[in-house]
Amino acid sequence: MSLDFSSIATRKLLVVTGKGGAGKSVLSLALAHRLSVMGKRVWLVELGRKRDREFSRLPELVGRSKIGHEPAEVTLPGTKQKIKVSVLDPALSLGEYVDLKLPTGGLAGMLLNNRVTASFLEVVPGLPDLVQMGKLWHALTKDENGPDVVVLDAPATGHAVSLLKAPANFRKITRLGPIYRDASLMAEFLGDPAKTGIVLASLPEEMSVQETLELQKLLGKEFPAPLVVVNKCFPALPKLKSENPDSIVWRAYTYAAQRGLREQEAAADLKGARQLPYLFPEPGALPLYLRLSELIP
Amino acid sequence: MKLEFLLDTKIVILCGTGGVGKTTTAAALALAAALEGRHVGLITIDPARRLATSLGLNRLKSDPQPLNKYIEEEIGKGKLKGSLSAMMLDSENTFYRFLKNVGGSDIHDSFKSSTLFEVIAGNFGGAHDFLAMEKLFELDKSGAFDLLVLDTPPARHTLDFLDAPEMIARFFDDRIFTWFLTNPRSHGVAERLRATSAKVALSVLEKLTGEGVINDFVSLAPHIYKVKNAFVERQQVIRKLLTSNQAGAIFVSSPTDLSRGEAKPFLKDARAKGIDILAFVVNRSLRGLAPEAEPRGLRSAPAAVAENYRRLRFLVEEEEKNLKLLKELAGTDRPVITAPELEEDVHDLPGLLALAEILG
Repeated sequence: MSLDFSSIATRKLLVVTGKGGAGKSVLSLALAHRLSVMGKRVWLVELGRKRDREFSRLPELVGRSKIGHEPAEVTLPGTKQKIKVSVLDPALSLGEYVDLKLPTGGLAGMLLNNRVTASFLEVVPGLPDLVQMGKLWHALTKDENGPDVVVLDAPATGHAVSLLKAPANFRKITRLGPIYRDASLMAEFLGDPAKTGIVLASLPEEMSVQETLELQKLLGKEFPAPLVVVNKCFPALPKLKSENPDSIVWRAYTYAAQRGLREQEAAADLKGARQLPYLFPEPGALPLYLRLSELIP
Repeated sequence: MKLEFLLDTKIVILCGTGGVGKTTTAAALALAAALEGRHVGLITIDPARRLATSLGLNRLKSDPQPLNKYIEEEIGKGKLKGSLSAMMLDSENTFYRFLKNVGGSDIHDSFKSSTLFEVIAGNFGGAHDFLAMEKLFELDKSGAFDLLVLDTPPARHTLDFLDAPEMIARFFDDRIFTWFLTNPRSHGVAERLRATSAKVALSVLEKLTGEGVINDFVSLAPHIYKVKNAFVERQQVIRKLLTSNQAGAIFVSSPTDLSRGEAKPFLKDARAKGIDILAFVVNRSLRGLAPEAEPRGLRSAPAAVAENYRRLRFLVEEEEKNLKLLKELAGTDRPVITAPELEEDVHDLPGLLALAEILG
């Protein structure tokens, strides 16, 4: 059970999404770790408004109390690998974009201090997505000191689609001007299988599998074919005959064996998906992300 | 009933991150209340449309779909004292319906023919929150239901929709907006941007987006203005109801996900926004499967069997730790209900019924 990683290891942007609870954050960190071991400069990113940060798991996973908008270098727990991490702020991203396009000094500040623009960002669907994706794209394509690869721990299913489609949508709305040009280039970048890789994390449960299939359909042909990962699969247990099926230990065994079978059945609908095992807690084990990283060849 | 509030509350909102069985729990609670005689409307805004699956239906519609007949076919007649209808929140549909009801056909049509709005509407992801509130308003007013159960999308900022009235009001309240209204399409866009302090922001936006968007916006502005008060008012009505003692939220989690520490910021947020937490539901507990550290027969069991038990037991120990923390957070006045892991994935009505019995 290993993840066919080689197919996406060469991409510049890896977008990890899928069902909530499918282990996106840990998987993103495991991928970031692998890429860092390969010698790449890695930037691991989450998106969010101020309030999202209270809920972010990233600080805990990399052993920091807080992670902000500016890329911060961290040494991954239990290793010597150094990567950069950020939780982006959409308002700051917009400011940076404006400064970049209209370098007349202080405009961004005025723009952002303006109540209307601040609420514009809140109310216009897709604008926070666009400016944050734009920041990643800029770092990857224009910035000489930028990272070799960005791993984006993206929001769950529904929101991820609007995130990925934001550039194409803005291309459609604007028709001309800098946003039009940049959004067009970004849409191309996101659609290019040499540049962008999409990882869809699913759970081996019927509902989660359906959701993943639906997401694949929504992404359609506009985006590179995703790598589908079925995470947290219970192990396949050998069929054993018990003389005492009602005892506690045997009931637990029957449960786990049946769960394993049921999960295989559910996961079978995701053709070509890679399965990753359920990592049971073990006293003294490595951090979860490292255990997962070891399963990526 | 364990959750007595299901008998008299008007609106229950289910919150929590994805993957914890929130949608299933919403459906089970709605069913439990309907069995007890309430007339329940169940709404999911989960873009993944999973509610349909747990009700054993292929697709839910955006209008309330009565399920009584279907339920009685499954569980037999006479057990269902109330009624249950389910629906998907279709943001686009909800918005256009609102426009038609409040603004009439003209306004509805001018939105519908706007390119700008077409794209925004197709990308309503971020606007789900407002439109869920609008839908609650519409359903509450229809009088067809005495309990509305709302399943929220698996977003982190689950209670943000309570901020919607301020957000929208702030947006429309600004001088820039009034300015749009007083100078509709008079001269070139650049000329119109002279006197106000907001002009800088707008000119910057225009430099970035080109004239097209701003022009589109200018032509929509008077229409937006006409309907915005109604929109904000309706949002306020619903928020008032949500923060009253007739409504509240349920925080759903799974025992392993509890370790993410999301319950704490959620509680803080709920308190700040004035919404009641009615209960905590912890799904898929494995406690019953590995209740003791060293049960009889563990030592003599085959290696695979013993190994499996130890693994599950580790999970249960983690679960116990998390549950203890949650109970401390919840205090004595809020129920913490644990639902055991069920043998089957809940994706049909009998499964839902079993869960309803445990939870309700």
